[in-house]
Amino acid sequence: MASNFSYWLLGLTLAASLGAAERAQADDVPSLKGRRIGITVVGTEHYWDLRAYQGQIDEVKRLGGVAIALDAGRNDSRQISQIQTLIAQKPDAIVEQLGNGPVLQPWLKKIRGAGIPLFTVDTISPSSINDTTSDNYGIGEKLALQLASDIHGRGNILVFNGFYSVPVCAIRYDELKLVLKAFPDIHIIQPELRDVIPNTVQNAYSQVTDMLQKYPNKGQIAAVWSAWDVPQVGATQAIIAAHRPEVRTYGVDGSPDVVKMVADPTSPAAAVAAQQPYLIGKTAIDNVARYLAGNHDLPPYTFVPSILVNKENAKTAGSQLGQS
Amino acid sequence: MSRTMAAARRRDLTLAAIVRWATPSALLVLLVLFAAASPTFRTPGNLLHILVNNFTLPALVALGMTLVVSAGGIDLSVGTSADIAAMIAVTLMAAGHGLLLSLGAGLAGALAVGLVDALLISGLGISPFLATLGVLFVGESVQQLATNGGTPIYLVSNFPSAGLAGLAHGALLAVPAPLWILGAAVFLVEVLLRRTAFGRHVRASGAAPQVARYSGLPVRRTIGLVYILSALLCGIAGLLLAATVKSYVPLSGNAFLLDAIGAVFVGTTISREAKPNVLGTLLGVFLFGMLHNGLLLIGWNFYWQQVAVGLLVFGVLAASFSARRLQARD
Repeated sequence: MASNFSYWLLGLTLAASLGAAERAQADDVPSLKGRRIGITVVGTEHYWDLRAYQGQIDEVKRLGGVAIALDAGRNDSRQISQIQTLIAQKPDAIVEQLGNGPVLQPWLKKIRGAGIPLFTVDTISPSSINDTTSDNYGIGEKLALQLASDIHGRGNILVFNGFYSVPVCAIRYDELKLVLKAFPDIHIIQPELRDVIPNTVQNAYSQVTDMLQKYPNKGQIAAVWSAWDVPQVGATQAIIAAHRPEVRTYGVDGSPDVVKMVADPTSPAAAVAAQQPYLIGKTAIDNVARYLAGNHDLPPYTFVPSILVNKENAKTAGSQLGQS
Repeated sequence: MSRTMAAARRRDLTLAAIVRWATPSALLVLLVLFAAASPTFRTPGNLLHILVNNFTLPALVALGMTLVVSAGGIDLSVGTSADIAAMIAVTLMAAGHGLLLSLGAGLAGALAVGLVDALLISGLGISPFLATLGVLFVGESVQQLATNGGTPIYLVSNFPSAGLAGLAHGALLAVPAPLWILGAAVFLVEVLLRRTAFGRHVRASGAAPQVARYSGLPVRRTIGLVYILSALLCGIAGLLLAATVKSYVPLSGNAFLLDAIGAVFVGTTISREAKPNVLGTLLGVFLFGMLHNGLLLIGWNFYWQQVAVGLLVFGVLAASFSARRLQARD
């Protein structure tokens, strides 16, 4: 009972704080009338990418500006080419979302070199005036602690680590490793698995099925971890198909269907760290508007709260996240 | 003199054997190696898993590609056909429509992709590479437009139809349903290519299109039909993919394109005339699927797995084509 009450209290506090943060941001945002804002995203085929992208475009329009929005279709070289195009168009600011960190950095530097203010979404870069993101350190830590707690501090886990070159995935993975230092009886099965794009779900399904064949006995695999939730969808279904419900899955992002999977008490999907991608995109544009209005004292990072959705809070978390 | 001729004949036979047995030998050697290195690999459950999850989908796509390459073309839109079929079927099912209607509409979508390919290539005379590349690009955009930029459609939490699950996870006479579907497709394509006038027209169009045209063969119609059949086979693969993972994730079908091309060309090594053929293609697809499974089970890092797949393809093709060149020189 006390436990239920504390979850409700936590949920209400989170909801209140999220709402307050959103209202505060909406109230004091300067206009972008007459401004052109370049937006470059590496891809939009994932729920998170798409919502953050839409959040940016909608907010530019709401504030009266013009968005020059370019989607690179998950192709690094195309994104670089689009950044060059944006630089040539000399917009008032450019917002870059996600992408391959090492590949992008020289081009982000060129944006600043061209005298164009650069803002980023989920991309850490010394060239960025402000990076709007979830607290990926916190996300990685909380998800890892949930996993460790659920499996009682012991067991072998499968880890998808195909996108370590994407900074936010690297942070989440590093946090997992850091937390696991405190749990010496939890081991990452080697080799780690590699999540891929395209065909993420079926590929994850196939790889996890391979590993369930290799470790056929109950207790040989305790959990599957991935830095986003699309591999989690494939992994969860592979576990169901193999009739191994004792294996739990963990991921990040919180697409509505994954939150529903976590809410299903019989599903192996145990937890997902749910971000607020639309609010992240909107907040990034609000920061652009403030900067262009003369506020050059922005913090280097703006962290938008996330919610760790687990079996206990999944039913209420959906509404807190604005998911129907 | 006769001793010299006998030696030359022996050499010819050896070279011919190298040419034709490079792929099956590689397959056999790897089977033995993986079975020795990993007890899991040789279990019936794992071999069945390779067939169902690593083999069936790329094999269906590669069968379509075999038809197209046999007719002297290339189809870069195989993934588009698969994706469009999956997108339509899953969208309809998510909206509450029945299984048969959804699957039928999905196949009709794939058929439409094939018709566009056929129109561009046979009707307008655009080169297959450019025509299917264009269809690939348009298909990607259509999917993104239809899914609000590329949002996956999951049927995971409210799976509407037990029939769809049966398509991917069901079994008949203890044989998984996907293998029945693949078996039917293999039979159909093999009979079409080897036992019908259409098959002879396909091969003639691929070998010497001008000669076939001057001989009065319906080359344009044949090539058009080949792209339509390819799209239908890929559409079936797309429906199976959606049924397997209970979802449609935009652009997933593109993952099968390179494996399909690779399998068809690896498969040509078992043919005396170095032509695409159904058995060779299936061996090529199985080789890739088995490699991915085996290397993961013996614990190879993923990036080394990719290197191994590349090296194996080089090895098989190098052995086969070097021997073929030596034969030609003689």
